Amino acid sequence: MALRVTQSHVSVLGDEPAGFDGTGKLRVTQSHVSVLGDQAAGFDGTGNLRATQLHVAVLATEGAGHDGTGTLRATQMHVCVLAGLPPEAVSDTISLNETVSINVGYNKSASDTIALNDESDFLLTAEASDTIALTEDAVGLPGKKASDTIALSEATTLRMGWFRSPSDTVTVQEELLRTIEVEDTLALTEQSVKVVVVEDTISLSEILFNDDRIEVFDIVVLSDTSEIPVDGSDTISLLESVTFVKTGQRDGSDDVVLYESASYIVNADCPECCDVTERYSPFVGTSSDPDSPDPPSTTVPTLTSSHSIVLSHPFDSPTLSMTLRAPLFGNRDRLTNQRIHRESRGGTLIVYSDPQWPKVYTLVMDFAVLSEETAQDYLDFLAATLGKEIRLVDHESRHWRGVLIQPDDPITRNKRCDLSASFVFEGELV
Amino acid sequence: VIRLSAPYPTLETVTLLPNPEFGDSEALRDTVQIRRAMDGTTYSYVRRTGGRRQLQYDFNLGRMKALELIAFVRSYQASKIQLTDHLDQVWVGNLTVNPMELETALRSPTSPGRERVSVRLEFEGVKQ
Repeated sequence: MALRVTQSHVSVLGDEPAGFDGTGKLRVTQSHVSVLGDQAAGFDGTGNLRATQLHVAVLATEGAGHDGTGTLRATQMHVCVLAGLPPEAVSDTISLNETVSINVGYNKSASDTIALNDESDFLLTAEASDTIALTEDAVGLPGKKASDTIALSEATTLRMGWFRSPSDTVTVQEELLRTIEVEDTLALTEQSVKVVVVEDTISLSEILFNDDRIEVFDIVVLSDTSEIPVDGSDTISLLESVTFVKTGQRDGSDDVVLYESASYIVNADCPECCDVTERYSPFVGTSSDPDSPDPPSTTVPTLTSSHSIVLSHPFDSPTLSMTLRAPLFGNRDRLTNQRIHRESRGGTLIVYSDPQWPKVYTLVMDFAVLSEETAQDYLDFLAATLGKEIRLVDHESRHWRGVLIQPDDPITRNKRCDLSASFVFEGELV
Repeated sequence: VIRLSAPYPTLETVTLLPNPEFGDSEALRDTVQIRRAMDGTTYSYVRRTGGRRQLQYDFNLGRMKALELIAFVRSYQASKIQLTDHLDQVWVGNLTVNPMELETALRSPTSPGRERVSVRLEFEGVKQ
């Protein structure tokens, strides 16, 4: 005869209440487990022990997932808490792909709108950069327009005196097989509280294929301002290529004329101090105008005083020469320019002269107290060289090449051994 | 000080001259023609020149400065010239003197070139 455990027996033996399923087997109830382990236990009604979330939490002093099947499940949150590590990197990856495919030529529109905002602060080296590459293809139908508009704004605030450089790099490439309109609009704004390097790099590349009239133009305006004297320069490199299948009308023109010149004065506040109003001192700067006249020579003429002048002929290898004493005061150096004066109907004076037109120097000299012999030699020399080129070395030892004109100027006998003469010489300095 | 700068407006060369001698002149270049009708009515025909005036200066220069002046005129005789006169007035116009003549006036051992030269400068332009 087998022992049959009844509820009353178990209670008496273990001094605890026990389930009794009526089959003579011991059935563990919730109240029994709680008493044995001093914990609450799930009871699934089958007599098997079932671990619930509450129980694991109490045992491990941690929250545990419970999937409702009685199996312990670990979640991400629990692992993070256990390892004690913060997140190290955050990244966004956006991938947009739009495809419009319609077999009939209705108006199609594809647009992408991306807004990125990067902030970086409280770092020794702060870098904020955006890289955007847009590619749009529109193929096959007229009336289409592809445009990209990108506005990037990056600001770096220098708080710790470290080198920071804001830069934007934008690459836009548009390609249309049959182009109606290609337009690039770039707006770059860079701002630094303490500027170390500010640099804009713009690279525009436009490719056009096959249209009746192709117009490609880029307008770039760069302005650099500095309050301190530094070299300011802009470098713009534009590359445009047009590949055409069908020849049509094309206009290309540049209407930019820009000349630069620089002039100066030494000691302009006190010209008398350095005697610039007395000595030969033209201040010649520079000019990029190709039509600008040749400036005067800055070489000081060499004047060596002499008490006589020398006339000789021929110019290169003289075989005939004579000497006269220095001329009287009142000798004249005359510069005659060939030029045209005209006055317009509005009263504007217009002066024109071709650079090839002659500029003639004329020397007018009077001589006195010549001897009869010297005066006769002069007349003989004049007769022998009528209309011929002679060399004249004047009383400042300057050499001239030219012709004596007005041979009818007389010699005058004022008194005994006192003859006077004069001549007019026309030529140029050599 | 008289300052001659040329060519205008891309000024490249500057020549400084001393103040001119007394007797310098400034004159309009406008003209008036008077016609009188048979009945005594007077008609005046005016031709204006847009504010252009003629300046005339006589200088007594050292020989070397005179050579600089004649070299300046030779280079820019057909160019617009900016002239700043002894009253600090700025003029833009043309040198109209032709021919330009340097006349040796007297000996001056202290001057560069050891001579003094008289020269007349005529200029027509508009005050800026």
